[in-house]
Amino acid sequence: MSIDVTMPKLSDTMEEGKVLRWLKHVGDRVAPGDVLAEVETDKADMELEAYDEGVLAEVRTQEGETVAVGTVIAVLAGPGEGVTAAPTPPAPAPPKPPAARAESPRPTLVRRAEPPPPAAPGERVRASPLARRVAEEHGVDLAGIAGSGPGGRIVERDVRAAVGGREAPASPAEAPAAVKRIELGKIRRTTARRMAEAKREVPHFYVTAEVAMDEAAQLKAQLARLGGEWEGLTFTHLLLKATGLALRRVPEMNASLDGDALLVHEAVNVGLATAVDDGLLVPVVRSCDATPLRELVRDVRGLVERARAGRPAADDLTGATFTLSNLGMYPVAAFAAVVNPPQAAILAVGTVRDVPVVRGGVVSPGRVMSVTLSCDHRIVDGALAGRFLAELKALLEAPVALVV
Amino acid sequence: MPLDLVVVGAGPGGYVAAVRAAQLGLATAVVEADRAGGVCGNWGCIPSKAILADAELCAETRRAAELGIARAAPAFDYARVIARSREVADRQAKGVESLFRKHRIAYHHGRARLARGGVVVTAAGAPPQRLDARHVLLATGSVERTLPGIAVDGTVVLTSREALALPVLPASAVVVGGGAVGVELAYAWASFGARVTVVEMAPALLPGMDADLGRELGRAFGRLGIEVLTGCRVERCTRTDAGAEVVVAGPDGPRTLAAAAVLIAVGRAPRTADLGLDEAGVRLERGFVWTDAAMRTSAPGVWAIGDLVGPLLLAHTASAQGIVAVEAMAGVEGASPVDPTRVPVCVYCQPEVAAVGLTEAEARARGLEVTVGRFPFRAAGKAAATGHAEGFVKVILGSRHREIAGVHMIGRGVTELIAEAGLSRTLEATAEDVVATIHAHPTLAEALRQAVLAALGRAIDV
Repeated sequence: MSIDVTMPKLSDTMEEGKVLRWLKHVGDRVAPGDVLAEVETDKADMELEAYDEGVLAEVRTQEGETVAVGTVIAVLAGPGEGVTAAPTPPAPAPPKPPAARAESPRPTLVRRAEPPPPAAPGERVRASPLARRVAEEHGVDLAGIAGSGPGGRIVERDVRAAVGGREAPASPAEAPAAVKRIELGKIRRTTARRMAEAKREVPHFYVTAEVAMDEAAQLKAQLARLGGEWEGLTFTHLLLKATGLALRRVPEMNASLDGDALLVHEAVNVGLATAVDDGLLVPVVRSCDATPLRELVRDVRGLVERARAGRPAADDLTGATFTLSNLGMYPVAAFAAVVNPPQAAILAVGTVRDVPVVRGGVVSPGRVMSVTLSCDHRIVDGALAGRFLAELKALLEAPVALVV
Repeated sequence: MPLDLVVVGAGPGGYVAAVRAAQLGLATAVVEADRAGGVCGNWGCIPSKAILADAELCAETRRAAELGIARAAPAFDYARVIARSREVADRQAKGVESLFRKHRIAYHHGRARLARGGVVVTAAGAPPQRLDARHVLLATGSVERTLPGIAVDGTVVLTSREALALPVLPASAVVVGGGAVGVELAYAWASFGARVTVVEMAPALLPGMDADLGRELGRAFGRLGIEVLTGCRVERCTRTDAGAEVVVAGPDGPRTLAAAAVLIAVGRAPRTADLGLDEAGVRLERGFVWTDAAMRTSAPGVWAIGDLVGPLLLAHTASAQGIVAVEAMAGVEGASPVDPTRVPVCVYCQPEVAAVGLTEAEARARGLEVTVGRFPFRAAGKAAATGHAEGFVKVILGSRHREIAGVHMIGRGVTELIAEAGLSRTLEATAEDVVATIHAHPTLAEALRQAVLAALGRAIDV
């Protein structure tokens, strides 16, 4: 029995992937966990692992080719099955499905047609004569290039971009001299597109609470003194745990919008907004409610290291049900984050500040942290946001619940 | 209700942007301090073309005998020439205003100044009015540059603005500046019979364009009796009873030129004053407003186009940039920024001059290996038959890919012929594509194909 290997969805925002390199070749034996290929997604280069045992019978997507998520890129033959040695010619890549973008109700938002996908083999490639000539010179296949010219025609700059700008274009548009132009990396491009979409389409509202952090700070210091697996414990870990437990107690917040339905998630997976060189990645900490705090310390360390190294594991970036953004390491008193659709909300955390606190009519020094919840008002109302923050505040102010 | 867009300036940049914005559903208003149509419609492109058409007819009549027509010394009424030109300008302005009405664009007369979240409009005899808008598009254009120490008086010492409305033909004129404006007015006045001297600092007329064009135009002007002093600078200009005396310094030493009129045509300066740019945080760069490729200035919500942002100070650059800006505001995807190497440049004296793309010098400066092809109009049947055989077409091909890198033309009718070269730039056509295009015979347009053939070493007719 043959098994199809499809282009996996390796991040929540991934729509297509590019096969960078096949590490297994037709005829190679494959065991579950073997790395079949390296895949470039919208955010990172990732390894594509085999889930089944067998023999690589057919490679359908060539190196350098970009295909939509779900496209069959290779076929495994079951163990013991015969394998045709001859490599099969690449099957035509299915045209990219038109992105289902919600049109804004404003009549002023007009979108031109999505640029057409690269032409399938045999189809006429629309390319300018100069683009054809430059492609020929560099041995680039025009069929793999998306055109940016009028009507999606492939023009010189598209081919130059595809060959990696090895050569300056003959007649570039003049750029203003005092401005340095930096082409956006793929993570930044994705971030830019997603954030703009989120702010445009999600009706945000914001609720802020002040949390007394005296006890949490004490707890953190005490645990850190234990060393060993507690080494590296930060407020972020306490926040992840507290957020996980609060989501468990207020499950309507652990939800996402799906068309006209609300999906309430059983798993409590909190994405942790993480700055990387080229933008923002959100590695996902799974089961934040159930995972013991000291294991969270270990999990987060691995996730963040892999994300910063640009080599996240296959499921590091998928399945978040809520997002946490902590800028407490900077002198940020409070801020409001942008909701990461389709999630219902995102929690933005400021630094822990020393402030005068009035208790029983007496002013005494205290440690306070501001948390701001940005919510998608289509599925979250103010009262729900308030309930969530009340739970979170209670957990952080009596933090023993985070370790028991 | 705040507007989506306020456009400041109703010239070829502003009015085109406003109409496009209205088409895209943006609630749009235009503020104009002077007349709809801008410099182009009122004191530039259009009225000057009216005068030039009459000048050309006059020049043609002078050589009528050569063409087999009974020679008749042309009689002309210069005041009527200017009056016709003003009528054309008036029609332009009315036409633009009727476009605003058709597209339901609010038209405000007054001066606009940037204010937080919009502009404040002041007009004589009315209280200041605030227009709130999500976007402000600055399209205020430019004003004539003058020279330090030379006072423009509007009767003897003129800029193009006064010259185009002057109802009396000066018997003699010194034209300071051999750019497009200078050579067009020099040609017009000379064609009506004025004695004209053009003074240009650069080594050839039309600085900035391919040097072969300016040299060829200089020779043609010589035949028309226009004196061309290149490599010369104006030292002094003083008023006299008969007009003015201009002292120029050049390679042959100083010279004093006496003339009834002096035209200062040394370029245009962006109209940046009194817009509140500083307070709004709109950054300038070398005097022009800085923008990104989508025409956004450094101030959020403020955009700028046209002569204000330079450097290709042309009506059609402004119009194209206006569309880029408005489509970016409206979220239309896929709009390409204006590529200066695809903007045609035209000069409307006779012979006409037109170009698009890189000059030979620019191409070489960019390290592009080029092959040059040239075809003279005297070898084109149509040019010979109509008695307008001066000029040539020069084509710059990239040697490697044989793309059309630049096309430079001088001769009768070339301002119309350049469109084909522009299309071949946009389509990224190669030499072979132009050669494979069958051109009607006899036409002037054949010259482009012949010039490309010449670059390939395959010219048929030369």
